[in-house]
Amino acid sequence: MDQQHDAPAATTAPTTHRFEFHGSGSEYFRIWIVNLMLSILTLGIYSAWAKVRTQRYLYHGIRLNGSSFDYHGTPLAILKGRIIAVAIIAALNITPNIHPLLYLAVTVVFIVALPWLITKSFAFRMRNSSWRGIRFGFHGTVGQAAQYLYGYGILTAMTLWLAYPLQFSKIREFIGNNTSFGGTRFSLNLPLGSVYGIFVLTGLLASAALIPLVSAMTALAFIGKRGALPQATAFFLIVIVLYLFLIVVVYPFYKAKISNLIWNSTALGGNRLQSQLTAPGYMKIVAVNLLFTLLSLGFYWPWALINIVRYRVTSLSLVAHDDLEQFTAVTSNEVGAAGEEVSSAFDFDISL
Amino acid sequence: MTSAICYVRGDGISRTELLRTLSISEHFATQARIVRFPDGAYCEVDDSAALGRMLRQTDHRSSIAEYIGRSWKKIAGALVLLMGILTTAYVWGLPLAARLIADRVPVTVLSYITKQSLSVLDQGWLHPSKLPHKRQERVRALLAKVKLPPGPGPQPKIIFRDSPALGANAFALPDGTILIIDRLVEIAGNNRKELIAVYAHEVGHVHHRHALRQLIQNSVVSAFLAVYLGDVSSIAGALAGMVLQSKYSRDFERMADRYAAEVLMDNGLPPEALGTMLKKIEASNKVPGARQDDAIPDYISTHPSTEERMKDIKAFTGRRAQDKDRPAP
Repeated sequence: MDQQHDAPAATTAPTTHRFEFHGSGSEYFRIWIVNLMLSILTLGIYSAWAKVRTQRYLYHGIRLNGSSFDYHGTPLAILKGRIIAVAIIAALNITPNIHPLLYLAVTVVFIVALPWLITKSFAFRMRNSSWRGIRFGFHGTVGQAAQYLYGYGILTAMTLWLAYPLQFSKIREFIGNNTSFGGTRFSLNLPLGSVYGIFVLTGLLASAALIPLVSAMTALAFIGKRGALPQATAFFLIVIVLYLFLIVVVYPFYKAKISNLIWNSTALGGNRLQSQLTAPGYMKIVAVNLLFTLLSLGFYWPWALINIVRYRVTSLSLVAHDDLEQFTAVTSNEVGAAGEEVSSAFDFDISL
Repeated sequence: MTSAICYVRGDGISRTELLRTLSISEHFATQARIVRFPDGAYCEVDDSAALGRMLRQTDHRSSIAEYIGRSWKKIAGALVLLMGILTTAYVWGLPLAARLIADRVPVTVLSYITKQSLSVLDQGWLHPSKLPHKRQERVRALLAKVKLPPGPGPQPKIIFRDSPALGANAFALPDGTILIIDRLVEIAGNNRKELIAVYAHEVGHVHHRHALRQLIQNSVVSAFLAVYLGDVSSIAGALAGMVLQSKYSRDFERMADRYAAEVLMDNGLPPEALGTMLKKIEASNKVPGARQDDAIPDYISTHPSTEERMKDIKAFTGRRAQDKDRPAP
């Protein structure tokens, strides 16, 4: 893998390929509403087919250097995943009413199986994604997943969440470094200081809203006692304002910063990715989406999704040192007989 | 392309494939269309409309979703149809299904559910009754004498609890247990008619297995909303749930009121007693200092307004009196 990116990188200047998004809210609305109708009529069974339609539309809409991405997941694998998910949820909800020991047993099985389920689902998703006919892949092991999920999870809990950004970085790096495109692995090295910086800033931003709001609430409570404004109404208003602030300001800030950091630290062979999301840009889209979704009683949702996907995709570019045609040819050859198309009984995706 | 075979010709490419072995993505104005071949090869067609025209000459069948999604008119038609189906399911289908299921649930399950929920309530809202034992026995004896129409439901069994939070109230639990809050007995005072009226109302719930039916109906509504509104907004889902579930609850209350009116008449008591008792309960449970008009709006309230219930009872007893007067055919 190393030979291939040393040679061209030295000679050619990098070319920036922007990701494009082709799709529209009204097209996606039609997919969504028909999916919704058929899913309701079939008591949820169609939802697996619906997911494939949705994924294909979104993947096909993403283009790089003139070629679309493609999604190859099959509805039956998705359906299997959903049945597993429903069975797990049902078991976790019903068993406590039957016997505490049974509930304990189910919980233990669930905890043990979770890393396996997540790894398999992610591998399924990657294996079924392609660009120019070349598949992505995921090589992370269940043991590693368990280590990052539970090992670091315990650390996070013990340090009262102070270690959470560390766990977050480890999980992200585990995902990034184990994903491949054709025969080439991605690599991801997150600078821990920057990750902590983003989490701290997000926390400060959230508390910046909390402090004036709580003082306002206390002030209003005093006024309320004199009968000017009902206390409950004031409290209700403040909760709504806080909720809106978290959705429209804090969340987009975090998303823009963390996505940029992750993408900008990702490389594929000698090529790297570049994400140029901005916090104000992200906030504007989330605010518009929220406003119209509320005003339209939810019917704007498909447009909202397309807006955010378009923003995220078009902010991304591939800075290529390799010639893409050559790179594609090499990396697809490297897959060889090694491990392509292992569709098995364990093909499923539990994500929604 | 012929009706069943697809030919691809181009720069160094020559392929002949059976059309039905190809996977052709849906048509969208904004996107290229991807044609996948059985051997893993694929081809992106930028002129989606031209491919569509060619496909129309062949046996290629689009999926049902593709077919509906192609025109706004079909989508609107399908939406209207869906709304019709959902409304029917909500108004008739689900209540009917819940009744059929509730009638078949064995008593052991009912008493199990009751025991579970009562033990949860006993840890929070409910406290042991403060009514003197003698008083409890007198109430039990009084209510045991009430003549009830024969029914398949479980036998009513009375228990007492104290609960300042719940105020003057009574509840019918799934296995036929009728939970009476102390305050209710206190405000009824020596008025036996009114105590019997509330009791008869709760027996109505027991008789029709309302607790279980409501449990089933509400669970289905919540699950449905969680799945389909979950991705839009959980708050919207919760609000819709309140509106949809409260209609079921109001329907059950009306049903129980009618049952109570009937029981009162059969026992030679005035059905109006239920109305006056409802008034008393309302007055007793009113938060001191609360304004008159800040009542919960009808469409999310679990009970119809007391005025409406009194009117309903009156109309119902009027109708029943007429039926009685009419000579049997």
